[in-house]
Amino acid sequence: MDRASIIERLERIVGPGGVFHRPADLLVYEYDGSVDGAVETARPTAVVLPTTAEQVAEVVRLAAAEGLPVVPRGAGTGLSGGAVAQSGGIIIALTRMNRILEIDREDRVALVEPGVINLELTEAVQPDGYFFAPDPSSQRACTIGGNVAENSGGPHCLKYGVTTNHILGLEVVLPDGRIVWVGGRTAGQPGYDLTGALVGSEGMLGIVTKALVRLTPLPEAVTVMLADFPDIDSASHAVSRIIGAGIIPAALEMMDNLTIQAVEPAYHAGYPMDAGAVLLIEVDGIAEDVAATAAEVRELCIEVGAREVRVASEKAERELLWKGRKMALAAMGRLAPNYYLHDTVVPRTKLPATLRRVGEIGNEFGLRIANVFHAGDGNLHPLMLFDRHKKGDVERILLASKELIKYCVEVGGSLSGEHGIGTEKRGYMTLVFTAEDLAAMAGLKNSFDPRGLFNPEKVFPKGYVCGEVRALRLQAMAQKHGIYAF
Amino acid sequence: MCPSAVVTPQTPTEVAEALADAAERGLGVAPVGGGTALALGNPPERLDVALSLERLTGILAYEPTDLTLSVAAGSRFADVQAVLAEHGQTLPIDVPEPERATIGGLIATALAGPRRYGLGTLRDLLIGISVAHPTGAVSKAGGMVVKNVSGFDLMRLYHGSLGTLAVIVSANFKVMPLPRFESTIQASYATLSGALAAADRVRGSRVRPAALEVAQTDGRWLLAARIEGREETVRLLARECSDLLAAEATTLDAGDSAAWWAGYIKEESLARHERGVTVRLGTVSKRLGEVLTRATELATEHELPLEAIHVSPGLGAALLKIGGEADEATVARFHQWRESLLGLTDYLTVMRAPVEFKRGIDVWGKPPATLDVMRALKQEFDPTRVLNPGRFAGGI
Amino acid sequence: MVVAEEADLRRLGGFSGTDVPEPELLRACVHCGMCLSSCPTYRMTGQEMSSPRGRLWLMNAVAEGRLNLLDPVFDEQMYQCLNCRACEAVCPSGVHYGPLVEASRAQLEQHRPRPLWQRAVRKVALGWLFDDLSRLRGVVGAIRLYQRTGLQTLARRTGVLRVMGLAEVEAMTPHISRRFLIPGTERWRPQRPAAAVQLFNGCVMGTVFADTNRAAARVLAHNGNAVDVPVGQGCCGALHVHSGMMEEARRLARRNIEAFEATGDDPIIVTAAGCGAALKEYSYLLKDDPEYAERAKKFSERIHDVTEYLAKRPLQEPPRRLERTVTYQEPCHLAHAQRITEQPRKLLKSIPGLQLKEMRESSLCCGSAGIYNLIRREMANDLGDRKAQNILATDAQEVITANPGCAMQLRACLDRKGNRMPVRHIVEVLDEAYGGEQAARRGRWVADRAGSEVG
Ligand SMILES: Cc1cc2nc3c(=O)[nH]c(=O)nc-3n(C[C@H](O)[C@H](O)[C@H](O)COP(=O)(O)OP(=O)(O)OC[C@H]3O[C@@H](n4cnc5c(N)ncnc54)[C@H](O)[C@@H]3O)c2cc1C
Ligand code: SF4
Ligand code: SF4
Repeated sequence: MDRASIIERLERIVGPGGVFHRPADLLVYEYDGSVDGAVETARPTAVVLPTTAEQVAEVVRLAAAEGLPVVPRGAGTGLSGGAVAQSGGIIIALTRMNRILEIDREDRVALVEPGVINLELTEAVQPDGYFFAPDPSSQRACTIGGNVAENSGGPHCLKYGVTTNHILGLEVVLPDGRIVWVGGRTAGQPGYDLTGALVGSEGMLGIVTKALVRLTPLPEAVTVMLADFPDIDSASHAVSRIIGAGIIPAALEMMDNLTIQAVEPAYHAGYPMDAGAVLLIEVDGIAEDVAATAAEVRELCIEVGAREVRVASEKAERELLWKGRKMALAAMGRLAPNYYLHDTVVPRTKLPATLRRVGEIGNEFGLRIANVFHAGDGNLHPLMLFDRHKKGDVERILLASKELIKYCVEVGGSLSGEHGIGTEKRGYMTLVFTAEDLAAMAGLKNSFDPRGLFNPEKVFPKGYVCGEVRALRLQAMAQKHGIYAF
Repeated sequence: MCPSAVVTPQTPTEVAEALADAAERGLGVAPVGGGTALALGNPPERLDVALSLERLTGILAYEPTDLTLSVAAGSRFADVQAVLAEHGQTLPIDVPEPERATIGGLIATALAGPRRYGLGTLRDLLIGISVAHPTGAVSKAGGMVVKNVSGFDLMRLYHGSLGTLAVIVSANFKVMPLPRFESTIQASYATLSGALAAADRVRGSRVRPAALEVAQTDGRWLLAARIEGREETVRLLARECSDLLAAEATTLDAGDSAAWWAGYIKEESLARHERGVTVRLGTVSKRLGEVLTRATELATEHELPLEAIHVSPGLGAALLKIGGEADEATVARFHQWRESLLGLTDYLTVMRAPVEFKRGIDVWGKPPATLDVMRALKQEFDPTRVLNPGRFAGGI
Repeated sequence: MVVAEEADLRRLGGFSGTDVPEPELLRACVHCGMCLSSCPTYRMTGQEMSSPRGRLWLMNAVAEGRLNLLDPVFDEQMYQCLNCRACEAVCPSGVHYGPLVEASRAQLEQHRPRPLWQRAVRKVALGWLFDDLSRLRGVVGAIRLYQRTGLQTLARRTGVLRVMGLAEVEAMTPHISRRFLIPGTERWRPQRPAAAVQLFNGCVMGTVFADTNRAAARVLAHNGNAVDVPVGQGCCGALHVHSGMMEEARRLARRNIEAFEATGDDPIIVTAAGCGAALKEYSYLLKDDPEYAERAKKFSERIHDVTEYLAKRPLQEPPRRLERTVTYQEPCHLAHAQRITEQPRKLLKSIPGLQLKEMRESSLCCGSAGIYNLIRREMANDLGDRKAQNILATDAQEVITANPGCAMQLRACLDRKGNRMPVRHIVEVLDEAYGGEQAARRGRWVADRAGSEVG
């Protein structure tokens, strides 16, 4: 079918107001939230904004018949290029499927469409005393569908778990255009855990059209502490001590001096300007317990060298302390036109050494790097400051990134804690995974999407097309046994 | 069914080689850990080789300050817990036969006890995994960090796949601090609905127990709530919990509490149910009472003695033990009973039963709605159906 | 020729001539998407081109020469934008969206061939009418006559308005103040003045909402401020800026600057959030005018929204209790463009007896946006309906806002729902708590006619 006929068919499926195909319309679907230079932009053939799962399914069937790639898209805040149509095809943007269909207070679940905005789900259930626990910093914009696809996390995931721990079931459109339910209200149903496999699959296995999510009761009491440390080492040490003492705070975040220098003058959160690093520690739970835990955390921090620990239990005071953390990216935006945010994870005990290495890399490449991150689970967010319009800056950033990622992998870490691989980090996958590892992942992909039409060019290294998966597996076997090779 | 050979490989590579070998010869393989859950599933279509993982044992890495652990799949759960306990840590799941059950088996069966209600399952703790494939390859997914989205989440795919996709050779976990203190509050009720109503009050309160169970004992219904945490807090919540129960409540502290639960969990052991049938059923929490009442009525109607019922109100699940011999008449009546309950439940699994009961049915109940996707997965991972062929849901 | 050369110097991809969007401002957007959910047009459509990020990307594409300035999508999006600036308030990278969309519109005005009649209408509507406020007063007077004489009822009954496509305009037309406030003719003096302030009268505020301005003056006087309404001032030019008519806007700006320069350094108080935002941005509007750049900066620094000014000091305790529940609709140009969100709430809470109940999405645009509701009815109505729903969900007895455009739009959308709850400016509520006009007689302060209008 030629392009015009495809557009016409699409319009018949979703109505003329739901299809975009003029060049200028497509222009604004060539990016997502990722950093220029780290992810190439690419233009889709058409964009559709369906309003029902049936429409999604019909579009998928049409695309399958035409052999066109399909790329699901939420709010497009992804940081790894997941929603960019790398090899063209149809972008299915789910922003018009944004209703909260049901809130079941008794069973503590909500049924939502994928385009519902993360924060708005929490706002909707807050009056009943609940919240949706995964809280990415982008929560005011990103969608539940995107959260599911990326298995997103946030500061409070230390205690409450990441997205996958809060998804009970999904309605998905499969690459053959069928609409199916996986999981459901009742846990423990027989069969493979397809829900678990779909969460974090970056839109490569199915398109989420409904999500059944768990609602978490709001904690009765919350206390936030700001611990001031002379250096990063002692702050990292405190992290290990707190975790080691069997305390799981609701959040445990670290900010280094460069971050404080950027944040404090702008937001007056009361961070000590001369601190080597500060920890922002939140404990929550029942009132009687929170006070005791907070006191214990305070003791531990002082023991390992904290100069001061400020304790805030009033809402306004807590919010002020958090404001600095939440606005950290914003403050960076004011230090330099661009920043590249990394997302590697290292074992918590490797934090001091890794942060030292980050500093060295900054020096080697002449970059300013600020650290503001989820220390409690070792999820680093080094922010490399640059100006994409300055010649050579992007190249330097990419080289420095490579060094950084290599180091994190060497100390037993991983490429990404919450932002996903997408196209951005697919080139690094072989640092962590062997051909066999990738072949197993490709096995999962293949069983859902044998033609490789769902969100191609993501996660797997370049040139790793799904049709070749079996060949690769054989090759892996041959490597192993030698004998099969000729 | 009896395998004609037992292999006991010593390394992951040997496991993979054994599998590749079996695949080449078209044999059926059953991976075996501690052998505590061999009763689970349909009788396999083919069983030639028992692949024992008993020699694949040991802690591969343990970093107490990181709270991460890597362990070989054949390791016994009790041994692992002992090492963790030295550092005040634990894998907080309930295992009926900890001295026999292995880590690999626990992951493959996804069996979880009462604390699943408050603390989740191994699914939530699994951060990395290594498996051996029938292609002869060994592959891994995840890693040794507590938060990771690099690549697909194969941990969750293998968890609960009953060894039908690949053989787990090692697993990485995030471990938890041992609770500092625990108490169990118990109260007994004349009716199931009375006990479930009390459980509902506890669920809606700030007590948030780690486990909340209702069990039938001597014609009455016993509710038990297990509360863990800081001692003062536990004592405070225990009092609040007692107030909610609206019945004479007793409290067991510390060791007494743990011991009581160990006994309770042991009763759920599949290996120990010598006779009769054990069934697990699930539905949404709010329908559980109704479904269980119906199940009991139907059991009486079909003359099936219900010997034990363990109910997890917060999970919408219950474990039922039915007595009786494996004679033709009983089997037929059991099948009728099961048939009429299938429509009322979200799932109904025959967990353990003499083979006579398993004939002619899929023990997993209704085929999953996504059976064809599951079949495609099996086809991808185990195209020649080497691993536990036919044993899993829908005859996978 | 010199002029041509100058024009050539200002070229950025597809932009050229005067008011080219500034490349530094454009580049500041890192397309993170954090602004999406705050944007009313994105919320209503779910489409990326109707989002701040999409619009900025389109502007960048024109600047990079990848998109034609006159591409219909570009035109459509630059004008579908409400210029509510909600995106600006939440942008972590501090992108100055307002000036960019205004410059883009100015570009379109310069380069777009418009049908002659449209140009003529715009010239009359925005140019002629607002240039000399006595003309505006004449037209508003005529509308008042229409409202009073029963012609309104007749017109409504016969449905003639709908036929003429004027029903929406009519629904929006507010109840007009009995007496216009003419600069230089009225002033307010407390017994012991602690400060002197100058009231910016504005075009719509001074005519349609003249009584609101008087209420503001009384509240200010009650709190120790001598209030004058300097002569020579005119329309702020916000509507012109929003429509890309930059030259007209600059002319108005220069005139206002001159008018207020005569009053020294006194704070200038504004009762319309839209005007306030525009006045605060004169410094930007005239930054390239060597003669006025500095003066504009000084002028802008003097501008205070009335709520901003009043909230600086503790209020005189109002003598009356107002036992009622109200909800507060944030005018975009107060909350987003001026980032004033706490002060109005603080003022409302300081009125004894008054309960403030927050509505959902209180900072989402109501669809008014200057004259947007007149030119993009469908979007404006959808937004208005959404707003009305959120208002009604609070069970409040009154809606409080701080901008004439919002007040009109709120009235219209509540009417559509068949609800007559009062929509009031925050200073009217304060004024009521102080006793309104009658309070003057109690001698705390005096209002007098300052003689005839001078010059
Ligand atoms: C400033 C900023 C801060 C951020 N902070 C965090 C953070 O703290 N933690 C974190 O985890 N992430 C963070 N992110 C990354 C991003 O916001 C998350 O990945 C988010 O979940 C993406 O949601 P989205 O709706 O924008 O998805 P998109 O970017 O539109 O898409 C992301 C991926 O999901 C797929 N997808 C989208 N919808 C569906 C669907 N319905 N079905 C199937 N696949 C779908 C897409 O194909 C794509 O691969 C941040 C991003 C920004 C810009
Ligand atoms: S305007 Fe600001 S918030 Fe919006 S995409 Fe650009 S940088 Fe992000
Ligand atoms: S000004 Fe308002 S309508 Fe325009 S892009 Fe920004 S938020 Fe959207």
